[in-house]
This record gives sequence, C-alpha cells and structure tokens, in this order.
Amino acid sequence: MIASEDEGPRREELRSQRVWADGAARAPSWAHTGWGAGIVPLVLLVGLWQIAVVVLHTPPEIFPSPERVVQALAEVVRTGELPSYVALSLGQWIVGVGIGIISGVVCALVLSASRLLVEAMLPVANFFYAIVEFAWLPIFLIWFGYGSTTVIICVAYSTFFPVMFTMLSGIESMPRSFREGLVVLGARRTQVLFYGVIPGSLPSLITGVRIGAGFAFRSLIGAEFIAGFAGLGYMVSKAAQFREMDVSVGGMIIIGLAWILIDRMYIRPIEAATTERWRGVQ
Amino acid sequence: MRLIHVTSGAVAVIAVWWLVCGVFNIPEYKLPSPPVVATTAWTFLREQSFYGTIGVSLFRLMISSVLGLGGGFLLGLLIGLSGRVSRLLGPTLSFFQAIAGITWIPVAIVWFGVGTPTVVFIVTNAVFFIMLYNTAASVDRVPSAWRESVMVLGGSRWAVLRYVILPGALVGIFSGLRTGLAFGWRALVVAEFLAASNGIGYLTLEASRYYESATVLVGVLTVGVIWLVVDRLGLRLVEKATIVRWGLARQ
Repeated sequence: MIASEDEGPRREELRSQRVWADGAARAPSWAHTGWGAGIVPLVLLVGLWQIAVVVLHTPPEIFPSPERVVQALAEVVRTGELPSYVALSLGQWIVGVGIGIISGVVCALVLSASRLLVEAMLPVANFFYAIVEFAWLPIFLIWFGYGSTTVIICVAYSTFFPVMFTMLSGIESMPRSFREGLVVLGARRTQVLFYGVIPGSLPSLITGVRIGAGFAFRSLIGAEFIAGFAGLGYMVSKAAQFREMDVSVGGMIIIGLAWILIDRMYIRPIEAATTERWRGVQ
Repeated sequence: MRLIHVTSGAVAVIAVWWLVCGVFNIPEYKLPSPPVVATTAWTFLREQSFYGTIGVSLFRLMISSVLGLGGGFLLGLLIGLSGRVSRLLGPTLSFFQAIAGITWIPVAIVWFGVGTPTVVFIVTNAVFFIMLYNTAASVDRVPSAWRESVMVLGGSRWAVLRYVILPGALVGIFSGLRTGLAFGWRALVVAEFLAASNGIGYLTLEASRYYESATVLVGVLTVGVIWLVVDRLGLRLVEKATIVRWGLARQ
C-alpha cells in the first residue's frame, strides 16, 4: 500500500508477493475511532437483535436473545469455566506464536546464509505455505490426537511462514553496506549477525510478527473447533453441538473482543513504536 | 541451473521423509512413505469423482469470492470515501472482522445445516471483511492532494473517483483481493471439515477418521496445489495484467 512517497520499491515488492493478515501497514483512520458515534450502530444492532427475537419468536436453542447471551456468559464466568478457557486459549496462542516466531527467525537466518539454500528451499517453503495450516489438522490428529499439542502446532505453523518470509525478505533487502561496513571494521561472522543482520531486519520481522499473529489467532479458533478439548473455540463449538446457542454466541462475542483487545493493546502499539518510527531508517 | 536448485529442495524433502519412514519404522497409519502416497494419489487422479470433489470446493470458493470481494469492495469504497460513514461504522465492522469467517462455523451449522450454503456463508464472511478493510484503508490513504487537484481543475466527484481514487487505491485493493482469497481458502477448508459432506476438506477429515493417512496426505497436497494454482497462476496473472503493467507494483 502506498503510504508515503519514501516507502519505495521494497515495500511494494513485499506486499505484492506475500499474503498479509490485513494488508495495511498502518491502520486506516476509521480503525482508530474512539467510542464516539461508532457505538451507535452497535447499540442499534443489539436492539434490532432483541426485537427480532421477540417478534419472530425464535426458539432460544436456535437464536438466543441478547439477554440470554449475557446471562449465559455470566453463568460461565461464575463457574470459572470462561476465565480458564480464555486463559488456555491465550496461552496456546502465545506459545504457538512464540514457537512460530523463533523457528521463523532461525530458519530465515539459516537460509540467508547461502544463496543456494535459499533457491532450493524457497519453493519448498512456498509450497508448504500454500498448504493451509488447517489442512494439516487431520494428520496432526492422527499424530498427536486431540488437545493442546495439536492446537499449538497448528498456531505455530501459521505463524512460522509470514515471519520467515518477511524476515528473509528483510535480510535480503538490507543494504549491503550494513554488513560490509561491519566486516571492514573487523567484525566476525557472529558479530555481523548480531549487530548487523538482526537489527537490520527487525522492522520486517515486526511486520511479519503482526501478520503471523493475526493468522495465528484464526488458526487458534479453527484448531480449537476441531481438535481442542478446552478453550474458547472449544466452548463455542461444543455449545453449538448441544444447542446451547446462548453460550455459543456469547463465546463468539468474547473471541471478537479478545482479538480486538490483543490487536489494539499489543500489536498495533508495538508496530507503531517500531516499524513506523524506523521507517525512515530504511 | 535454477530449475535444478528448485527441484533439489523438493527432492531433499521427499528423501528425508522416506528415510524417516524407513529408519524409524513408522507405522503406515501414522506416516505413509512417499511411494504409498504417490500410488494413492495416482489412484485418485484416475478417478473422476476426485475431480468432482475438487470442483465442488472450487465452486464454493468462486461463489463466495464473487459475493465477498464484490460486497467488500463496494462497502469499502463507501467507507473509505466518507469520513462520516467510516467513523459511524468503524467499531461495528472492526468487531465483525475480528470474528470473520471461521468463528461463525458452529453457529452457522446450527442455523443453516450442513452443506454448500453454510460453507458459502462462512467463506463469503471471511473474504468480505478482509476485502472491506483493505479497500477502505487504501481508499483512505489516497493523498487528498490528488483528490483536490482534480476538483480544482473542475472535475466532478465521479471524475475524482475514476481518475484518482480507483487507480490510487488499486494496489491496496489487489492486496485485499489476495489476502481475502487466502483467508477465504483457509475458511473453506475448515468449513468443509465441519459443515460439508463433500469437498476436499471433507475428504481429508473423513480419511483421518479411518486412519487412512495416505488419503489424508493426498488431500493435504491437493489443498496446497489448488492454492498454488489459484494464487500463482490466477492472481499473479491478473496482477501482471493490471497493476504491474501499469507500473504500480514491482515484480
């Protein structure tokens, strides 16, 4: 996306080659909206929802009213189910994302060491990236069964690729003067790595992490639907199976709020503090 | 030379796979060796119903894409163009984007049952919100100086739209298209796991229930190949014909 004139070809290249979680390096103005006029449609929506339930006499097993959803949520909070599910889901997400980031960074660094390696392995990596992480779930189920392991691996898989690709791209597009300057000053390979390559590719890494985190959250929910036996996704899925739609819809709302919170409170500020500030350095 | 490098990577992976199967004596239901998978794949490729299965999945993807991309584009345009609409709808759309696609699956199954309508609903949902966000963001980012210069020269709002906004936002819109389809395809696979009785996702999950790992791997590979074809051949070509040709993106 063309954010400013000095973005240059590298960003365009990145963006036109890869798939992003949400495309924009910087959120559009409307995503930073405070809770001003924007709250009105939400309130209206809830109001319409309530009216629809009353007017259409929908059975609560199919289409619950907002009131019932709130009651159901209060109930799962009271029993301690919801807090533990939220904690588990977030925990799985964090562990998965962490594994994905670390392995992505390591692989990017390893691959960048050799032109031959990159040329050989990049098509393979692209192919595995094309295999949607969910497609592996049936095999993961056979290998690891149901539960956290499968979910975490799925999350890690979906984080790994964006991180690795962006990091690799960042390393490759780093000005050669960074590396050569350090070598001229007498740096050994490890020093070049730590003082040149890693800091130089950090902005790309941050972008990759943001994208990977987005993919990872969706993977989390999907994986929990299929392979979890606890957690937010599991709660939504199981409740729907037992026609406890109030719990199910409530769970969906919690999932939405959780993502919004994670995005606004952690991901966006981290990116604002790093990539945006460092953009001039590129 | 390059081709050798490219294939050597694939060969290396397959070799490691084969070795692992042999050295660790892994039971076939856990990890079938490459020849077994290849034979299974060959069986599938000769069967006509396999192409029917793929066709069903692609058909669902196609319909959902048209609905989702079209709707997302139009609404995104509206939101990007109008500050008031964007401030008004912003939080609501952000919330629905947070739960876009996959999260709706259990509820959608209860409401719409199992089958193509449910899958289409889920995938359209996923594609729509991504496309919406990207279109709105890229329209929003078009420098107002461009807009104003056309208006100063006497251009109508329609002229502004056609000559400034759309070309200016085109790269971002394409980005939204690719991202939207990527998410849509992911949502399709999961939706077919849970909410369908045919399609490539259903085939893969069903096979795993019976521990037919070879079939599962064939399904996995098919998912990858389909996406590669859609992305590389389909989308890249469209991009080449448009934004690359018009100099808006480096390839």
